Amino acid sequence: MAMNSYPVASGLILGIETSCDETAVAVVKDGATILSSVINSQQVHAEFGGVVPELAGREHERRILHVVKQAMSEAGLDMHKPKLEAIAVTMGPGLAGALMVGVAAAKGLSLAWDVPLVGVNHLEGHLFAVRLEKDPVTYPAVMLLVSGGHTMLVLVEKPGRYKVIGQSLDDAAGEAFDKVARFLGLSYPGGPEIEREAEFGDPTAVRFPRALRDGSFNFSFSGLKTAVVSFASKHPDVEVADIAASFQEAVAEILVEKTLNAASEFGAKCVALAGGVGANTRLRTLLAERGHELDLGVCIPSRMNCTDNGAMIAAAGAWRLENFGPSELSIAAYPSLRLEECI
Amino acid sequence: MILLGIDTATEMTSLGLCKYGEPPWTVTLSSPRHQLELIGVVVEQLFENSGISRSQLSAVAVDVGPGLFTGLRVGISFAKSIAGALGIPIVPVTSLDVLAFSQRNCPKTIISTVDARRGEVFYASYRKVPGGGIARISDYAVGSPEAVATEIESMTEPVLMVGQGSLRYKEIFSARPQVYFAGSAAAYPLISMLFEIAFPMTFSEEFISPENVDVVYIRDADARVNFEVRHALGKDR
Ligand SMILES: [Zn+2]
Repeated sequence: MAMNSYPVASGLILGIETSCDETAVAVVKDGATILSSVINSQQVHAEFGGVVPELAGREHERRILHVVKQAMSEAGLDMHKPKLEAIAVTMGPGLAGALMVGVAAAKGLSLAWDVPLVGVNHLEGHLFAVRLEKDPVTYPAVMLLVSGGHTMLVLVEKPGRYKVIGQSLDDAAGEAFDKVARFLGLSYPGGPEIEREAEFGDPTAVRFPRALRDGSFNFSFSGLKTAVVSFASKHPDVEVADIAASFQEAVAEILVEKTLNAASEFGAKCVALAGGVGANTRLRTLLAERGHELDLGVCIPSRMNCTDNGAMIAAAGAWRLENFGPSELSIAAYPSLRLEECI
Repeated sequence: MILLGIDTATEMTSLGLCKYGEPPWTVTLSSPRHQLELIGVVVEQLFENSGISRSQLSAVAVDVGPGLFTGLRVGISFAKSIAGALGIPIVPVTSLDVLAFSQRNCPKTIISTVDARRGEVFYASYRKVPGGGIARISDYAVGSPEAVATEIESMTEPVLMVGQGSLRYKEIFSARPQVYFAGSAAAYPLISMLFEIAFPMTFSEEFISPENVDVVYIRDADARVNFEVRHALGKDR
């Protein structure tokens, strides 16, 4: 089944994403073709070792119009008379003060240009990132959504029909990377730092526990984190690179193993990756290798489309607009919006 | 000349459209938690009711603070994107200036206040100037009501306090015999008053391009403050 068998709006959609620490805006055509995608990653949080909500709100407010203008101009659109079909904006889940900036800005643009507004669930946006890629997704698909805020396995029967079949019982995968990185004396954000360090290490150096091999599709990273911390404290002689590589291997293995188990249990034709941790090279390689061994379709978006971005919001918005029409101008920010609430 | 006015600096949301020399179309709502829901709908209503079209706007006048951070960001992000989309400038006005301006005929020193929460007020002092209007004679500042009261005590002349910040801590301020209060009618910045400041600014082109508008925070983000305190104490985070 080809992806275009699910109808999407055919015009240009502006997508706005400000749920966490990326101020991101994109212009997407047909819900699939990226004309521009500007991602402004906030640097202010690094010294705090995590995202500080008040600072995120301040940075979004400072940057939002710059980023909108850049995305419009890169897409070749006239900022004052654009031919847009809709403005899609993340309305949740995420940091309240951060989401509010994006929604307020989207409303201003919608009013000024007289272009309809489409509120998008951020998690659904991540699931639509795969539609921005050349590899077509076949449904039903099992999608692994891994980021600093989320770790979930989602059964996608078709666009708009989601079932969360497993999630992290404690830390999100991205959080585990951040915490272990901090302990190993690496900087923030931890994911790219661990990956850089792991490049020079031996992933088989330490056999860390693969938690929750209980047949469920839930994840737990706190035990692994504790094991890494305790091992590193007891073995100051072992190279940080080896610990980082072994930790990364454990995370990648458990994520891939559960994704593939879920695919076989639910008869999925395809597995797909989404979310910021999806940028991790080891995770990408392992999912592709093991998925192909099982003759499954494997859809792995480019790194840029894994991290939070406006294009995925525009893609989800194109589908929402076509199937459900525009949103009211009275939409707000919904910090704890759930994926199931999309349906 | 027609202005769109947006004020979300306090728990009172005040929005309006105004053609120079005519009475403004305004909506003022006490809605601290629903600013984001209301802002688009109300502005759309204002356009409809007034018959003014978006393309007729000369600029967007906006309260840039100080005030409640989240509300300010909602109002300013909204204002910036409207102005950016229409290709018109922004006239930035501070909340304390708007409040003080409402008392512009008072011969006393005016102390304008906005409740900053957490036991503090934002404040600034003003004096009437010849030829009408007022001039600010202090920096914008934030402090405890007690500290502001001590500052007032060092002044010998009578002062008029305006704004919710002065009313919330009335007991502390009224202990100083030379303090008068403007009362609750002037407790919050209103868009009709903001227009009075914004029109002359627009005529003299004291506006800026929308992407360069900055929120007037005065107070640092708590995270940063706490972080610096922790560092000063030599504690690990
Ligand atoms: Zn995300």
